[in-house]
Amino acid sequence: MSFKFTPEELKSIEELRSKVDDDRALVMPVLWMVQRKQGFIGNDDILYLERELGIRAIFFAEAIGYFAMFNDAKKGKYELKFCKTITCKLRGSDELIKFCENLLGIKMGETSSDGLFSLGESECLGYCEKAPCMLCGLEQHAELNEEKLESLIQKIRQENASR
Amino acid sequence: MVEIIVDSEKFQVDENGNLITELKKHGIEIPHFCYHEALGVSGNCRMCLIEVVGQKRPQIACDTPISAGMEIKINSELTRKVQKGLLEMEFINHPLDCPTCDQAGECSLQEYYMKFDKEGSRVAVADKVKKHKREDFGSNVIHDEERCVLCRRCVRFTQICSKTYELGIGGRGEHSKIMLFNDQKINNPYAGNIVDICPVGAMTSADFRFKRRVWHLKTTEAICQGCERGCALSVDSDKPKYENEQIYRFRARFDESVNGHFICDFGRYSYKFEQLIEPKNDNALLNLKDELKANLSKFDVLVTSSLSTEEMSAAIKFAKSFGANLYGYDDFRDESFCDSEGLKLRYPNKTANKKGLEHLQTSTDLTHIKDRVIVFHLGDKFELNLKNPTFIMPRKQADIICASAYHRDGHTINCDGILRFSKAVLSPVAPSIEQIIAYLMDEKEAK
Ligand code: SF4
Ligand code: SF4
Ligand code: FES
Ligand code: FES
Repeated sequence: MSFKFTPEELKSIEELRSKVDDDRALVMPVLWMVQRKQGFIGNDDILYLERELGIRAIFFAEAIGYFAMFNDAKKGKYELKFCKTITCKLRGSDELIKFCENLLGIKMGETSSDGLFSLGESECLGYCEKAPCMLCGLEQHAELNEEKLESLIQKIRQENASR
Repeated sequence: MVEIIVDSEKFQVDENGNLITELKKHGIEIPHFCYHEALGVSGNCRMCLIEVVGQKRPQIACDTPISAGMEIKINSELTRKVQKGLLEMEFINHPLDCPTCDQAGECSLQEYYMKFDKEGSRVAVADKVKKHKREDFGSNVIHDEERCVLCRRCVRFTQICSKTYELGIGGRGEHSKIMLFNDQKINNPYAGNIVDICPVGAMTSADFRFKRRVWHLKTTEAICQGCERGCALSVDSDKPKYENEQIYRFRARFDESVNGHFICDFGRYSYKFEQLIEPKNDNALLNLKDELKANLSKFDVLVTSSLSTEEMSAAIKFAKSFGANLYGYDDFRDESFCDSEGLKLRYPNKTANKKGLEHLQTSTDLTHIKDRVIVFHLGDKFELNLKNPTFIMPRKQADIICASAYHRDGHTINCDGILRFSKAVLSPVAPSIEQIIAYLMDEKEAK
C-alpha cells in the first residue's frame, strides 16, 4: 500500500502554496502529513511527493536526514527517542539508553520483533531543566529514571496485549 | 566604485561586487571554500572570516556588503587566529595524506594550511573518524566523503547550474555528508564541472584520477572544438618518459562572454580523440603532389567548418593556384546536442568554426563538385557522396594524417560571432593543414 494524499489534503497543500513564495517552504508541512499518517517517509513516498507537488526529491531527502523527528523507514508502534544532547547526557541519558536497550532487547535504531517499540535519538527536546528526557511518539517524558522507563514500557505492553 | 581600506592600504572596488571577487582583482586573496563566483554566496564554510574595523566579531568576507570607506584587516592577528581555528576544525577528521591525494597541488585546503596554519595535529591517528571512500557518484565523478569540507558547492552546482538536483546533504552536524537521493547517480551533461569546483579532493574525476600529479602538467589556453560554442579551455599536457607528449585533461577556463566558468562533458572528454598520431604520410603526400601537378584544375577542394580561419584561407589560396573550385561543408548538426535547461552551452553544430566558414562565402551546395576532391577536415571521418576523395584529417582513417586542432595555432569564430585564438598545446608530430598546403604548393617542406 503506497501513500496518497486525499483530495482534501491536496487542497490544503495548494492553499499553503499560494501563501509562500518558494515551494520549498512546503517541504516540512508536507512531510509531517505523511509522517503523521504513516509513521515514516520512504523513498517511494518522496518520489510520489516529487511527482505530485513538483518539488525536487532531494529537498525532501535533505529535510528527513536533517530533522530527527522524521523517519525514513517503518518504525515500531511506539517510538522512544532519547534526547542525545549535552544536558541529558550529563544527567545520565547514556546509562538510561543502555538500560532501555537491555529491557527491550534491541539496540539504538532498531525495532522490537513484536513491532511495538523502536529506539532512537533526538536532538535537544528543549526540556533540559527536566533532563533526562525522551519522546514516546509525540509525547514528552521528563525526569526519567529506570523505574519510570520500566513502568512505561510495562504499561504499553499490557495495553497492547489486552487488545 | 568606492574606496575601501585593506590593511591600511586604499583600494577602489565596485560597491555592488563581492569583497572576495573585488579584492582578487587587486591580487589580494581572502581564503574561502564555499563562495564561488558562479554559485554565489552560501556562507557556510567560514573560511573567509576577516576582521572588519568597527565590528565586534570577525565577519565573513563573502557576505559582507561593500561600503565606502570601510576598513578590513586580512593580515591581522585576529584574522589569522580565526583562520587557524577554522583550519584545525577542518582537519580534525581529514585524512593526513596529501601526498597520495589526487587533488594535491590544486587543493585549497592544502594551500591554506601551508599559508596560514602549519600546526601539528592534536588528534591521534587512531581516533580519527573514518568515512566512505571512492563512492561512485556516476558520470565520472568519484566522491571521497573523508575529504569533503561540506562547502555545498557541488550541491549548488546541480541546483543553480545544471538544474538536475542530484546532490544534497544528508544527516546533520558531524554526520552530514553529500548524498544522492535513492542512489540515483549524477546524470547531466555538465557533471565534470563538479570536480572542477570542489575546492578539495572530495570530488575527483574517474577519468583523470591518479594518472598524473598536477605540478608536472603544462597548461595551455585553447578553445574547445567540440561545438560551435567554442568554450575556453585549459589544456593540461605532459611528456611521460620514453613516450610522446600527451594531453591528460581539459578543464574549463573562465571566459565571461562565452562559457563563464564551465564546459560540457562532451567537450571535456574530447581530449581523448586529440592525441598525437604518428603520420605515415611521406609517400601519400608525394603522390598527391605529383598527381595534382599533372592534373591541374581536374580536382576540387572541400574545407569543413572544423578548420581554423587561417587554414581556410590557406585552402582558398591553394584552390586558386591550381584553378580548383573551393567548397565548404558545415553540416555537422546534432539536434540532441543542445540544452533547453541548465547551462545551455552545448550548441548543435559540432564544429568550432561554422561562422568562419560563412565569412568566406564558399558554396556549400555540392551538386556540381568534381569527382576528384581534396578534403581538409579536423575531426572524425564523415559520409559524403564523393567518388574519389582524399581525406586530410588527424585521424587514423585519414588518407593523409595532419595535426589536430590542439596541435596548431588558429582562430575560430563562435556561434555568437566572437573571434578567438586557440594556442597549440604541443608541437605536432604530424604536419598541420597549413604546412601540408604549403608543401603541396611547393612553398615549403612538409615536416
Ligand atoms: S564534495 Fe567538494 S564541493 Fe561538495 S561539499 Fe564536499 S568539499 Fe564541497
Ligand atoms: S559546449 Fe561545445 S564548446 Fe563548450 S565544452 Fe561543450 S562541446 Fe566544447
Ligand atoms: S539536553 Fe535533553 S532536552 Fe535539552
Ligand atoms: S566563503 Fe564565506 S563563508 Fe564560505
